[in-house]
Amino acid sequence: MTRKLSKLIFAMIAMATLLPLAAGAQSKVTLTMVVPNTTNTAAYEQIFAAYKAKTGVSVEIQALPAGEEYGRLMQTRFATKDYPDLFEMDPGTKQYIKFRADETLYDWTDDPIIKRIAPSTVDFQTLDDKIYGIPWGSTGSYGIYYNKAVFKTLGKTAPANWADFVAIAKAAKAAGIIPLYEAVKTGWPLQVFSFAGWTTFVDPAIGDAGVRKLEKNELRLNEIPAFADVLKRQFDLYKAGYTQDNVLSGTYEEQQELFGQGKIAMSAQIPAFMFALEQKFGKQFVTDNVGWFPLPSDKDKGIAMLSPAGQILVPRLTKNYKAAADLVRFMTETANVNILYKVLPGIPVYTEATSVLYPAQADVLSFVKAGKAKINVQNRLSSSFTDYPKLLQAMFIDGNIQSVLTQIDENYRKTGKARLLPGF
Amino acid sequence: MTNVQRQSYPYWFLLPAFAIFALMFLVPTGTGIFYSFTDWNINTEKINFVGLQNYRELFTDKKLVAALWHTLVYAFSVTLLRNAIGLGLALLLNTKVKLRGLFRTVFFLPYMISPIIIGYLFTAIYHPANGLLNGALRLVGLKFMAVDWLNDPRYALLSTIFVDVWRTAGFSMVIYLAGLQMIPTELFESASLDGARYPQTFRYVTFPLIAPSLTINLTLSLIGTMKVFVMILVLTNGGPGYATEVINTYVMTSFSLGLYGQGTAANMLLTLLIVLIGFPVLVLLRKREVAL
Repeated sequence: MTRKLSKLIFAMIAMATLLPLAAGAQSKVTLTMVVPNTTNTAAYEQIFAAYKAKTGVSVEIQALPAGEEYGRLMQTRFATKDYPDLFEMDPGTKQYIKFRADETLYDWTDDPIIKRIAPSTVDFQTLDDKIYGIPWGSTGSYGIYYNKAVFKTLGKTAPANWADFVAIAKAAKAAGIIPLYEAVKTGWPLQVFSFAGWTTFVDPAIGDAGVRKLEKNELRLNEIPAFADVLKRQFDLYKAGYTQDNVLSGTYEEQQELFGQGKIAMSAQIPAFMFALEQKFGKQFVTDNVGWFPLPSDKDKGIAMLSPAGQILVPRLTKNYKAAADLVRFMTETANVNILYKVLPGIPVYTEATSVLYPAQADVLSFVKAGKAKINVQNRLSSSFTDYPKLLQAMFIDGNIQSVLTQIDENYRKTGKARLLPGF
Repeated sequence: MTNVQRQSYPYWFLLPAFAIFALMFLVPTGTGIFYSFTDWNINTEKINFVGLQNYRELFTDKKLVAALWHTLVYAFSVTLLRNAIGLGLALLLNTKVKLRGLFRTVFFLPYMISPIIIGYLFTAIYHPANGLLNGALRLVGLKFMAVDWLNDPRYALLSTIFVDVWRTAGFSMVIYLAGLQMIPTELFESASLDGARYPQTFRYVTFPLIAPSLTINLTLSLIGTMKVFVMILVLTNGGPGYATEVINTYVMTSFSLGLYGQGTAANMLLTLLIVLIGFPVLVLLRKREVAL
């Protein structure tokens, strides 16, 4: 009896051990791609389905909280060697420094993909003659997205200057429409106003030389009056009642809902806002109703802030890194980047790709063509405006702009020091 | 077996437990103390000893000072409220009230639910426009009290405190109930014969005899609430701004920024704070315990 029982137990243990092994042997490689949770994944799903049909390799999409937190989470995963197979990241070579690219990331410098990318984008992605990130997406813009139907009701068009902008807000408020929605609780959307305002107000004041000084830590952020002025303008709009009630509980999700319902006139937002609206209210809504303009200056329409296409990074310390690199090559084939631009229209970074732009994107392009556009200051600096959303939340609470500026400056220098940047 | 062998014999049984304790607690604490004196961060390959620099930077950081204050307010408020409510419920449910078994389960139930789920639940309940709480307040004509509970810095910390009290009062109740049920009924009978009324019975019989329960409840509650993290993270993420930032959310931010040395130093401060507050409280309470 005891021997029988022993045999039975042994057989059960053997089965429990061998079954998962057998199952594992049958399954093909599954790659994991990490993206921010604001990403419209429809294009990925189509491309990955085609890749699975071709190679049998599955790709799993992992969405992590967007914004500053996304970068932090990815850095933490790198620090703990918990690498995904590939991941989306903000554009620019700053990310190479953050992730210590020369040690951890796949080097694309001599890959044939690079020859199919617009030269200006290649330049933007090159650091010390090396390219570690493959551009993915399109050139977009932070700025003011407005509801054209609401503007029509108000008898308004895109503002010619700051006074016009305030007049639109005033008219919207009088009509019972939220002039400008601020997603204070969500946090990250709060940054958009001042980053979009930077190109209109701060760049003309400090010039490229000023930005270079910031890069070398030779200029303090809290000593730039034009930057303080941008924050003051944002706060003054709130104090004047041109934002929604319960401003501190404003969320990105509610912002999309109310914008789509025609209850909001304007939103300082990123390009992904349009794609989120498209998912909720359809392509026609975005085509017919969403317009864009930069933050206007006191004298003119202002300068567009361009956000370069994001990038895909492949950690080379994973066992699947070659498969991940192959996937990126597949993703960047012309047919597949066209899928991307069909789902997420935008100004393409791949030379042979085609895209039908939304009217809001055509608005951005008109500023680019007029030479009235500049790249996001975040992408021109190696350090970061760390904890910026929380500091802006604090500004909405106590209105102490100088204190907020001081902390922004401290965090900027602290981050530069932690990243071992020269001059910090 | 020699006398020495006989005396050392029981200690061998302690060895496995001590080994696990050392591995899981002493070693991490020791390495934590070491790293808190280094410049360890996500961008450096080599870790350097920097003395007290991390601690100096912490004390000059207004955010940490605010986080310390919020942690203390949170810990003491939750501890006092949950014990007061827990004791009240225990006294009530220690009588022959109808359905007391059901009530005991109902009051204990929130403690069984994950703080994350409770956090999400209360995010909806506290919603300023569509939340259950403000809806109820408006319904009974208290519209002026329908505020933005989690996003107005004046109420945010208070709102998180209330949620934790609601969640944990049932746990305190169970410990007090156990203490109450250990008191011999003869003591109440003799107090009654002596003409003692309820307040006197409570003051001179009940309260001294549930001292061990009080010790356990206060100590566990103080230590647990000083380590608060999940509830704050889910309900407010330390915001709006830094209005509900506590030490653990500060530590999380430091770690997520890759400032591991600084984050570890902040963690050490929390450990020190728990020892400095928890230990004297424990000693004081143990002194006044009355042996049954």
